[in-house]
Amino acid sequence: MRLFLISLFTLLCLSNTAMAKDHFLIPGGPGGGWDTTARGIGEALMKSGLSDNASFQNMSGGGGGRAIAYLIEIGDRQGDMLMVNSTPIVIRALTGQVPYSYRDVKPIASIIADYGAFIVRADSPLKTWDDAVTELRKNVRSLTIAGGSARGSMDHLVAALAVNAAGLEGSRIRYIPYDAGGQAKAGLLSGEVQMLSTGLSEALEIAESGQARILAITAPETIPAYPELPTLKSLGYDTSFVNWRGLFAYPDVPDEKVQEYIELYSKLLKTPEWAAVRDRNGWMDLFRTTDDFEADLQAQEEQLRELMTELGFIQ
Amino acid sequence: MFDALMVGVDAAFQWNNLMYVVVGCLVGTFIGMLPGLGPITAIALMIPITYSIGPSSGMILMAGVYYGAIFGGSTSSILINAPGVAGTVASSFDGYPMARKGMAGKALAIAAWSSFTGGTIGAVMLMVAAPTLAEVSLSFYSGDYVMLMFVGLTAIAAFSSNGEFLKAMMMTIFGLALSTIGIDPSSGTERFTFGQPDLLDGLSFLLIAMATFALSEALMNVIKPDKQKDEDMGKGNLGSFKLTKGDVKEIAPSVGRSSVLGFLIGVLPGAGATIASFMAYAAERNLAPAKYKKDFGEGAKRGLAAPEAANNAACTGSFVPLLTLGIPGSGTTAIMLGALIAYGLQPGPLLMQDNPDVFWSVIVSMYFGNIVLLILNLPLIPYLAKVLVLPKPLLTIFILFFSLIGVYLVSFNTFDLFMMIGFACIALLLRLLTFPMAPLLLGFILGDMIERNFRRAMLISDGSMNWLWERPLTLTIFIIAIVVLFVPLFGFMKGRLNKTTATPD
Amino acid sequence: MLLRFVLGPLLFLMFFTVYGIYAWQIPLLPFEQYEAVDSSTLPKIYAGLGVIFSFLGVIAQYIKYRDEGDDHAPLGLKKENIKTIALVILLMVIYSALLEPLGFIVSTLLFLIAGFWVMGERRGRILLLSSVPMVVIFWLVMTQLLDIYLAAGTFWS
Repeated sequence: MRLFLISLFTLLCLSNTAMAKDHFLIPGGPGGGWDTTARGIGEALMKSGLSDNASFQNMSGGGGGRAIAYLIEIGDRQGDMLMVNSTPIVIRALTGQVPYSYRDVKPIASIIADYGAFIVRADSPLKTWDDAVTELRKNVRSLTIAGGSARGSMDHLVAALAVNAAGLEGSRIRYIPYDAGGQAKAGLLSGEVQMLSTGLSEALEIAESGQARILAITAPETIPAYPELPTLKSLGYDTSFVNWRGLFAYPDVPDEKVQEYIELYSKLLKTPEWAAVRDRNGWMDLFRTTDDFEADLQAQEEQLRELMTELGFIQ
Repeated sequence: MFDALMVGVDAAFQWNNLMYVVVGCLVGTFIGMLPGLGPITAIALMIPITYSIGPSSGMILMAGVYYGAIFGGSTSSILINAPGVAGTVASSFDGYPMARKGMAGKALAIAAWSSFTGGTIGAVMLMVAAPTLAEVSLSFYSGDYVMLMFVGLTAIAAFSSNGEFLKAMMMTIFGLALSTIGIDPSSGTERFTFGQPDLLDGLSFLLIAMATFALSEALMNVIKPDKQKDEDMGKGNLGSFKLTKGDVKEIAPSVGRSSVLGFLIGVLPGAGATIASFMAYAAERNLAPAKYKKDFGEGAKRGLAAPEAANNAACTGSFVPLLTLGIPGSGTTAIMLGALIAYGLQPGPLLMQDNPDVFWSVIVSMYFGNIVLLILNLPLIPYLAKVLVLPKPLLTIFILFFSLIGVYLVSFNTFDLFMMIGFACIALLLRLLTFPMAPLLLGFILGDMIERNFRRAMLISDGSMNWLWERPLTLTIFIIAIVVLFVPLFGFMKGRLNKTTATPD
Repeated sequence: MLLRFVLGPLLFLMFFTVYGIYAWQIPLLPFEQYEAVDSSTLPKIYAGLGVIFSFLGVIAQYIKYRDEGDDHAPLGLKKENIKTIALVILLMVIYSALLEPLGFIVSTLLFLIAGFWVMGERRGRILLLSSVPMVVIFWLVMTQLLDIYLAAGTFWS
């Protein structure tokens, strides 16, 4: 009986020390974008020796809101816990889907970026983005544009943004929502829709296999690794869009901790182990810390607020 | 093609790869048995491990886990009526009644053999026709999927044999209605969320499945104990674990048909093991001669064999769009796609040309995976079935625990647990009033897909319904659906008509 | 009793009516005004179909009642079973509520032991032997092998 109680007690103690040094809070389920990013970062941290132990906690629900609430509530008790998040936190705060915004937590740094891309089938009559614009000028509803998420979410917004930049009514485009990137891809390749708005990393997969052609991307400058991909800006359309992914801490985190994190991740991004993880996933570095990061967030919030009001997604 | 095949066989036969298949199958089976963890979680967890062993070995490991998880899901479906994987829900319709009748061992054996055959036939079809099938993958538009799901819904007819058609319909529509809770996937509006952030994502499949099947079943046994059955099970009366010649003869045609059907459905990116298993179940029930037909829903061997064969064949089929076009057909294949890309491979038409060893070794390893799964799991069956021998108090509470923790592991949200308990109580009440549970789950699963595809078809055609008849494919499936749905209805009404006219005045 | 026959369809009728009311109140985003099919279309269809079928169900059950009469036994539930099930459901609710504060290990142990006890198992040895190993093994597999985080108990930390 005594043995039993002792072992039980030990177990209890052990279970509470299961909190590791670098703990990542993931607002989505395993296998999703946030999850892969967090685990990739953790992997690089451990492989490069910058961290003893990285642990991950999935907490999906409420479009990411649950994890944010959790972070705010127990962040200070939970050791080194950082939450992964990305552009949707801005979007969903604007629509009110999530009752929190980036201001309710402490942005530490953005780590990687993905850009939007527009793709058509290899045998499509649209050869360049300008061709697409020509079609849209005749009738802004003439092209069906698919995306891997609901109306009013990122893929839709990016498409509307690009069309707006051509001086057309982005709010009237025919956006066809699919459940996920994979289904949207199928829709494009089968010929059900004419164009696909998706993330660059996904677009590259399809384009490299020769089945489709990337018409334009939303990066602010040409990407060094892929100089042949035209950015909207280089084509004369003055707009850009970044889907960043970054790390957040609980709201009242002390400044020394923030510095610690920044130093850690600056080091990480220079390691070959990180380069391996990053390239493997087709991500691009975008290391912007605290103040710069917050300025970016604010700018993006403004850009999206304008766009979403115009599109009628928010009042 | 043959020497490329040999390259694949060669790769698959290497010792380390064989080991990976075995490990994958074992781990997958274990994970599949736990309701909350599905193939998706299992594979996502495996990915980091696979980085260090190389692409073909990694894919082999993941394929093993995938199949193992499906089999594990079948096990919990059959033994405790807790289908943790949507693709194994249909297996519980006849598998669980068989287990309750003391034929648990045989049920598991049928599941194992049917799964094996389904997967093997699928692998053969994959080998032979993968490139050509790529075209099939791309042939379905949203409208076609709507019609396909519609045909799937006609499986409800299977649960209305004893004149309980209206009750089955009420449950189906209830399920459809439940699927509308949450944020609308097409337009982002909130529906029936009543300001609860936890309802924004809608109800999870696992929650409803556990509540209506496992929990309500366990609770039902508490409130209406079946003394005789409990005694039987307690005595360890599990029946034989082998299939007799008669059994094989009975299920062979079903297995054959369901495998082909399941494979073809799996090839479509928008439909997978779940739809395949339901349709195979419905098809076999409609095609069954009277002597087998009446057992459907109460322990028909064909009723178990068909979905089991179909879901494995569909899993194999879903590799077609993945490998030939780089299109993932389901959450699981999406993760595998991510893994392939992480290895630096480009799934698509180029994969077969540039990396034939990966392509073919995956295919051959699938065939292997099926064999290994069978070899590993057949001996396990007696031990798995022993679960049922646990004394009732223990077994019941364990089932409750598994269901609760299973749902918790998906979302880590205690609100979900309270909702599940609430639904279980409702389900219990409905069961006491003799409503069938299966149509509810069917409506719930299909409701989501039907709505998305329907609204997408309407969007693409700019508001008109002409997508229904514009393409011959859509029209054909539509006609099939109407026929399948209304013929039994017609028969039912005719029966009632006869009954009324036959009553003497 | 007639109620026993029609209770089911009647409940559904009520549910679908309420569902329908809320379906008509689904807020539509501005751009959806133009569309033929919007967020509320399918819910309305389901509500309509549901009302029709449950209404038919009430009628069918009434006919059945009239044909077969009241010689069916009532639900046939024994009092002690009802007491047991109420306790079991209560236990599940308590377990769900305590899971995060007390942590996985403690709350599961309590749930299992209390559950067994309510279900009739009173032997101390069995109670412990069936619960403790299960909890321990489960916890080990989840946290150590599969790297899945299980609640550690916000109360303690």
